[in-house]
Amino acid sequence: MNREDVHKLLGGYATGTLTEEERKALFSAALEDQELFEVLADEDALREMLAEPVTRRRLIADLTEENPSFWEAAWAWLRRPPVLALAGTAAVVVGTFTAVWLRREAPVELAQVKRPAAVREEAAPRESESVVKPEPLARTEAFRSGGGGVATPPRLPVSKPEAKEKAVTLKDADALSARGRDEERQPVGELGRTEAAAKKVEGAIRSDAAPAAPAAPLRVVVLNSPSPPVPGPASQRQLEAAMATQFGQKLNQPPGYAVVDQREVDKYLADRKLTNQELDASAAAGVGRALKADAVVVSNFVQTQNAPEVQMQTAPAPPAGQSADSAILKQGQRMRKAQEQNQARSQVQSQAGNLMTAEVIDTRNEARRFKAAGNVDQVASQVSTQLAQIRNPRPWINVRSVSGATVVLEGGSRLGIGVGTRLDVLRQGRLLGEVTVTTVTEDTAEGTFTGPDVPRPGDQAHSK
Amino acid sequence: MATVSLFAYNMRVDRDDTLKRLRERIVSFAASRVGRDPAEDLAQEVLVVLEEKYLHVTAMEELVPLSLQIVRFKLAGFRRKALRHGEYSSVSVDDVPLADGHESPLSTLERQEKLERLRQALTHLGERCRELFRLKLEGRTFAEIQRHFGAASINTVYTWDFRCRKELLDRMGGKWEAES
Repeated sequence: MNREDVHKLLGGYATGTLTEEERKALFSAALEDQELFEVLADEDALREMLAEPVTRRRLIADLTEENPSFWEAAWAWLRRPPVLALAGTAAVVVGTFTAVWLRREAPVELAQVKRPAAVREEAAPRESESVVKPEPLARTEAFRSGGGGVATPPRLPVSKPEAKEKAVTLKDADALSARGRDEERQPVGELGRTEAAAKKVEGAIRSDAAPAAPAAPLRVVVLNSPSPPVPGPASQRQLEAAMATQFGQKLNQPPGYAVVDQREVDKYLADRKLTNQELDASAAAGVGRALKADAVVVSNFVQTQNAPEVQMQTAPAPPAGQSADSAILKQGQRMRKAQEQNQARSQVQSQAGNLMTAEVIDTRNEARRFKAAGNVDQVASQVSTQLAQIRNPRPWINVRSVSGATVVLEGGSRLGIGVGTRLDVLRQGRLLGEVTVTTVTEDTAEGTFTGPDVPRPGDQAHSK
Repeated sequence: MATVSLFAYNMRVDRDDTLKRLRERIVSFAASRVGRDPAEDLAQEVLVVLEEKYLHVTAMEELVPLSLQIVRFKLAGFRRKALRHGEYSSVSVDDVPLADGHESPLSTLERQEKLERLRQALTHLGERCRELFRLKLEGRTFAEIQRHFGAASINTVYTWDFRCRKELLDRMGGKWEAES
């Protein structure tokens, strides 16, 4: 055996495959060849390992199995613990990233607002390519003159109910603002709008993006309950008409109210052959509901003093002995005097007289909420306050405990109660007194009671 | 009686000659691992063991593998002693456990890792190499392996085995034992 052939015997040394002759040849060569000796010395580590029967059986079992395919080897590699741990970590990272990303992309609802009906109607023509015509001139003129009773200013139709609510997001707010700017650039003349109307639309649209937009206006029907039809001078009717117009104008002044056109009310009553005198609270509320109103104001113009014209109507016959001419002359003088007095009194009464009453009826529950009396300004102011309460009904709050003059209520800042708020305390509709809140939490309020009666737990209170 | 004495004398001469050549090989081998001076001491210790414990082993084909095994053990002992002396790393003697006669956990772990490396390397060998290695582990001789494969000559089997061993060694990183 030459040197190269001897080196080929190295593979048999570790496994113990060599025969006696092969071993002699290998080791003899190793004694003479330092390189071969060192290789043999290194090979001894493998020989020692393969000399263990357990190791040898295990390797034989491995080699007996068929060589695994690529997919089997890949699957075995994937099932190794480090690979599984790495895959699990990657899955967690991807899942977390996806969750964070999706959460960031979700629209954030800033506020939910109700669009004013008029605003929708103002903005609608741009989409439907229709044109909003201004109110007829005759109606406006009638309103100005007051000849048709209590008239309403030009008001746009109410929008569709399904378009009233919308969740506004940042993107929506931007889009609405952009739309508002676009509409501002539209030629006003083409749409038949005035510049003021266009600005109103823009302002309303911009207010749409605000967190708290105004709600739809409260519709109010005013039913004038006239005096019994007695013959008299035209100045009396004109006075009532003027007062009715003035009253309607006063009611229209606060924002958020819309008085139904009086002619629409009169037409409704005429179609059903009704007169204002025949309407009780329930019937008046029914009229209000039919006209889609939230409240009905029944007004009545009264006379606190005997009117001269009434006296004139009931003037006694001329005493006997007086001639008819003399009687006619005196009666004419009295009539002229009465007319002068009537005109003077009308001027005074229209300024400070105690001339009218008004009753507010809630159409939802037909409840008579309020009855006011006074001049037009006073009554209109009080009626407006009552209408505001219909819009935002006052909550009833139970009295939790009473200790001397200190009363604890089961309602706090969540219900709009603050320090200094004054509330009426009632028991079965009877007013006991009032509580002035001194301390308040979210759900309770404590205050000092003043009044003739003593409250007790279970009584109810509501803000003034 | 004279014939027996002559045979014993010849065996003794052959053994001494083998040991003399073994010493040269061992010194050169150990010098490449631990340095010249420790190598001579190590070779001397190997020969002492052969003389005191294995005096009955006289055949060259037995002395050489025996000496290789003793050299490996002596080298491992030398490295452990150097570790304790702090020649390569400063380790407190309190941290070095006393030998209890059993295999240390470190040795067990190294052996398991070595076996795992060998198994992984074997899976990447070709079918003939795997079959050849399996037959060798089963104790077949090269002649029997030649017949198993139907090879033309035994040199063909030698060549196959040489190439397979080289491929296996390459797949294990060029050394049967991992660097410690």
